[in-house]
Amino acid sequence: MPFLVDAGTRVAVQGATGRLGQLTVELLRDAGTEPLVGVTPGKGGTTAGGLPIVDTMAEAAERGANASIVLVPATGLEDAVMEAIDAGMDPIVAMVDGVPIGISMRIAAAARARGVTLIGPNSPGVISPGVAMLAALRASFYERGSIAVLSRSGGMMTTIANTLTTAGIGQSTCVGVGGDAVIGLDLVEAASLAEADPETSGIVVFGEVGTTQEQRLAEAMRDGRVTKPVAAYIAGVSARTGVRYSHAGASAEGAGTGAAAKRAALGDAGADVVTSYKQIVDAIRGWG
Amino acid sequence: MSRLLEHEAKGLLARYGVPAPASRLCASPDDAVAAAGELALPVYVKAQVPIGDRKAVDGIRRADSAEAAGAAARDLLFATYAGHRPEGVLCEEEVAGVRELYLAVTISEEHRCRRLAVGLAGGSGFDAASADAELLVDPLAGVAPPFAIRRMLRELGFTGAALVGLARIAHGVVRCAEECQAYTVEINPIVETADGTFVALDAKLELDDYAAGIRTAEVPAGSARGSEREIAAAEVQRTDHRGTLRYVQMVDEDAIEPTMIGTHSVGGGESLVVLDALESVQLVAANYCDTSGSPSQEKVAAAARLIAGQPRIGGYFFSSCIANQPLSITARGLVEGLDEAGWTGPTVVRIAGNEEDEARRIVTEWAESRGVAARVFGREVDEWFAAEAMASLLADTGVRA
Repeated sequence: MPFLVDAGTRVAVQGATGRLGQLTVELLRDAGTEPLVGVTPGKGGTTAGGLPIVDTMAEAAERGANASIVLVPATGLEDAVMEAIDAGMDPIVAMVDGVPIGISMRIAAAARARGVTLIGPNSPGVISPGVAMLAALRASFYERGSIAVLSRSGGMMTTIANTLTTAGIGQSTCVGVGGDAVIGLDLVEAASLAEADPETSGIVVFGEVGTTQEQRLAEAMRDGRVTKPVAAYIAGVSARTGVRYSHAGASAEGAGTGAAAKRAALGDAGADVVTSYKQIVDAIRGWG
Repeated sequence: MSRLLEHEAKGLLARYGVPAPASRLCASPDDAVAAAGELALPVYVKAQVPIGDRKAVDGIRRADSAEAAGAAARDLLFATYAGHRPEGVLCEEEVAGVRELYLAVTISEEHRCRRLAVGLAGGSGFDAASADAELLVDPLAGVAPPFAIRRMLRELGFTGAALVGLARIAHGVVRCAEECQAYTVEINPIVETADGTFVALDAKLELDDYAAGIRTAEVPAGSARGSEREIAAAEVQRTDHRGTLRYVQMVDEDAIEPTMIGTHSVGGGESLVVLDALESVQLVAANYCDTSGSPSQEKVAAAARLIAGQPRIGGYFFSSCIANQPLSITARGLVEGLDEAGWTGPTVVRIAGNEEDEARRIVTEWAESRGVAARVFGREVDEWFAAEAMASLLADTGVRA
């Protein structure tokens, strides 16, 4: 079984009737995951792109949904995620960016209190190629296999997965944890899930400047909590400190949050640290 | 995130019961002379710029007389600090303390909550990670209970009026962070005076720019800060919500040299990858720019205009991650902006993802019809290959040896 999503994942799309919602429904179908239901308050009883729409997450749960991808804008995100938690969805992907950090902290705390896995905000979602998807990703770039890809960037996750696919290396589960400073599932927790997954043989990480996630992952490797081989590319070695780049979490401020320090920490912990993501292919082949 | 100036931060903190020395904000040397006449001497004259450690860059002077304060203000007001011209100087009374402390509320991304940190030795160069005690604030509660703060301070050795006074201030700082939706509220140092009171000598406050809708306190509007192009890009982002435009001036425009590159990317991660790839061939990025999340053609064009319009840049480098956004729209915006900026210099474009064939055709036709020395790639090459192509192109066109 891959991790986070599998053949039992029944997807609700919160905000399915908007432009992004309709694109996501199309991408889910392309990936072989037929979404079960869309949720847009006030539009219950209608359909959008052939998808039945209900007003509430409670109704989505009654219809059998057990996971949700939340596409509503930042202004409505907190209420939408809280509704998904209340309806028992797990996992929940929060896709939009531009989310106030105060809201991210509250939804992360609420999810944690209920034992629910929240992915994001600012996450493209999660895909187990050929099995299930809870994401807005083009599945044709991915292929089923045994390498987990954990990424702070959605676009770079697809780029790296495509590089692996082209080299004949398939993926077990790929998760975009989100580019914000405060997110639900982080790289360390995602690596723990990959560690526990019998189908996953190794872990690829795309990290970048800002936050302590990569440093904490290195600590988990040193502690023996993550023992599977890890290949990591950390972007932004020449990015100067004190600047916030595009991702809200990409700002090297404190000690150890620069790319060079992260590369060093992961290298010391035994990861194959590469200076260009194409080198990940050679690193994986070196694992035997 | 927006960083407030020291006087704005102190003004805000004063509403939460955090005392600061008596001060006056001055716009001219004459103002500073008058202010120093009203305040108790000596005073500190402090450049109001949104950067850290102003002492290290000669942005703070001590003045023993009104005349000296005026002279200091003259120097500071006309200086530039990391690209920032001061928005006034703060003339502030000196406060003698018995010890300097560190007090801050920051975000713990590890614990997904605010973190109140106290250090028993604050001041210049204090490393926030080495605070002596910390308290994690439950986001669902919003503000730490006063008793928890008192307990933390008691364990640090505070007693009597100092314990109660500092706890009240710390509670105010936590409330300030929550109500203003701040990423960081840092008071470094806060000094303990001989009579057991506390005074904030400096204050740093960074606001979450996305939080206007959930902020419960009024905060200073803050003038637009950054370089001319950063401000222009932020204005485009403010008025056109389709996708993201983020622009950072990496090299001050005055310092741009003809071997430097204007960079333009699709993807937040990709734009950092591009910096790495350019560095691998010893090319310096004059700017950073990300246009992702399905931006409009107009938005991409605005970005291209800003990038190509940088003085003296030697080349234009565009690269995308494998993007979901319709890249033909991005390509149309790119060539529109390059045309508007009159750009005909060496150009490398790497387009990968949705509609990449059509996007490549648009850029190739543009380059051929304008006689631009360009290399156009798809996802068959990576960013490092494209960066090498940029270096070769610069060499071919005589821009670089």
